[in-house]
Amino acid sequence: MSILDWLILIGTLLAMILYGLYQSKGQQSSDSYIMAGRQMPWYTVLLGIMATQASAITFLSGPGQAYSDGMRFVQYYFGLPLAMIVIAAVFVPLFRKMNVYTAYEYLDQRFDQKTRLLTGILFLFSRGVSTGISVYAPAIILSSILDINIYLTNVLVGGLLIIYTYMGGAKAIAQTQKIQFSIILLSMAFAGYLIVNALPKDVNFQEALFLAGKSGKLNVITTNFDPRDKYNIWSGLIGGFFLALSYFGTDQSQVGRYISAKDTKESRLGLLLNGFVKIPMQFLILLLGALLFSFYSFQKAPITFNTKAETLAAQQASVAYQNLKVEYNLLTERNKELSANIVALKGTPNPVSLQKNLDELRQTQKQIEDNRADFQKIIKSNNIQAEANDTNYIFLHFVKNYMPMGMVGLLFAVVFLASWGSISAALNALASSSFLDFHKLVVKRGSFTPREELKWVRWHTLGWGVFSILVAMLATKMSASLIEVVNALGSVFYGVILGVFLVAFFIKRIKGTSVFIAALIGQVIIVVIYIYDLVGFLWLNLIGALLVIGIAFIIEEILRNKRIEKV
Amino acid sequence: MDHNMQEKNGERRYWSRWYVLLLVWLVLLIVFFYWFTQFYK
Repeated sequence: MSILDWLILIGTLLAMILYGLYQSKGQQSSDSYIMAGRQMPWYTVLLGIMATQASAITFLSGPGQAYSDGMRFVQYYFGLPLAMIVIAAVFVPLFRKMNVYTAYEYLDQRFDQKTRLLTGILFLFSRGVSTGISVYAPAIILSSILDINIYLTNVLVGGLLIIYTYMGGAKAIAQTQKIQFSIILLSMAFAGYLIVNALPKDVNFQEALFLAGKSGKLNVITTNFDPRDKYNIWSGLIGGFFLALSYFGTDQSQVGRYISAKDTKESRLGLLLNGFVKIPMQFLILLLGALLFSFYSFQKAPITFNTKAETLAAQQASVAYQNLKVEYNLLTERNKELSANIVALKGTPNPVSLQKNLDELRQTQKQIEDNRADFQKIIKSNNIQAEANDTNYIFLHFVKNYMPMGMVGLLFAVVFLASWGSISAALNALASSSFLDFHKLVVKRGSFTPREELKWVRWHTLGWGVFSILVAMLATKMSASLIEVVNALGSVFYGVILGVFLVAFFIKRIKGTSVFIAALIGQVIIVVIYIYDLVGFLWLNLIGALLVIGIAFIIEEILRNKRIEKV
Repeated sequence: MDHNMQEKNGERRYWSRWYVLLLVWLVLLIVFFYWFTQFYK
């Protein structure tokens, strides 16, 4: 990376910290620190919701996912607009009517304290650990590409944002997220333009799409129903609906964003507009990956986009690597020729020749995929200390090697800003919940002055910040499969939490004890289903919620009958 | 009382329009994506 790129990267990050500190002024109580004084307009809510959901991995794995698996990942978001409607219509008015600070506080008013504590614990555990992983995930990529020590990268990704998150709480987070997300969107749009611009001179946008489509990368809708398949229209609409309902409706890092709005109208507008823009945004991010696929068809894609892995493989498994590389080079050379032939033949009255080239292209692409998979096996079987799966490296590989000076620094800054946006909201949510749902409730009920409260929530913020960095440090020692397990934690707990909230909102006859026992039993069953890998993870949310509702019904009936017997 | 009820109904209608609009948007997106998938297949 050039000096100009480093200057832009460091300058953007410093400016963001200073802006966050500027927005931190005037914090007097925990109310302004947790709720931003409940003064946020709809557009701040909208950008806050989007910036909280979109972590660095969203922008890195999106293009990578489209490159390797096609664009069908976008179906994962189909349930989101439906969830936005339910949350705007049902959740928002109730949260606002009860004037709660955390979602779990509502459960105390509707059920009892033990249910509030149980859901709070499930949230703190899953969100705490996953925040650590969202520090580690971009850190390992940046560390590999920029050749910086992973421990230092963890601190840069997870540590610097603590400065303004600690000082300014929700207000500083909302204001920085607004700027961060605007920079991210503009930079990604410009990156898209540069990708199209980087295509060979005789290949235009339409032809790049044609090639990507014929290579199976523009498969946005897949209609096959397979419960183990992650992304199809059914899992997206049904599973995605329950996932979005759990995430936006019960995860404090999102609830905290929209209940800090000025009034119900602003909260609703922020949520509904998120429903309008999220899918098109995700579609465009994935389209970048499909275009990158076409770009690399003319450029000879590397055997892995994680350059560090290739360097280490060349040193540590030199014979296997060299043999594979010879075959791979021949394949990519042929792939390049075929891609050029196909673009040249498109639109000419020679369908037989075009089809012949297309058939051979697909065959070559399949062999290239097999070669890339063999390379990953070399990495794993030789215990080489580098990520074998290179999906998340694809976009940054292009940025580093083909983007103009200045833009490289800006796009690396985007990775940091995207991380900071979601991690800062998570820290604020974790601190709010651990202070209000536990510390204040259990340790010293109601006897804090506003200043003391502010001091304590800040300590909690700092504590969770350090915790997430520690998890990220531990993750550097974990195996890839263990990290996948940790990553799926959200889905393991979300369904049960959602079930508790759905009972609270819609089934008035069920009381605290029944839902509490149902949540415990439901959680055990979900863990078993997850361990035995019985269904795709998107379905766990639906199953978890249904289990809690069903079991709570049964227990409520049993308890009622017992009460009647006693009378 | 009547005035309050009218206001509530008006608000309900206002938000219902938003919800319907969002549903229509989702359907249009899915139709577009389906066409896109078939067109570039």
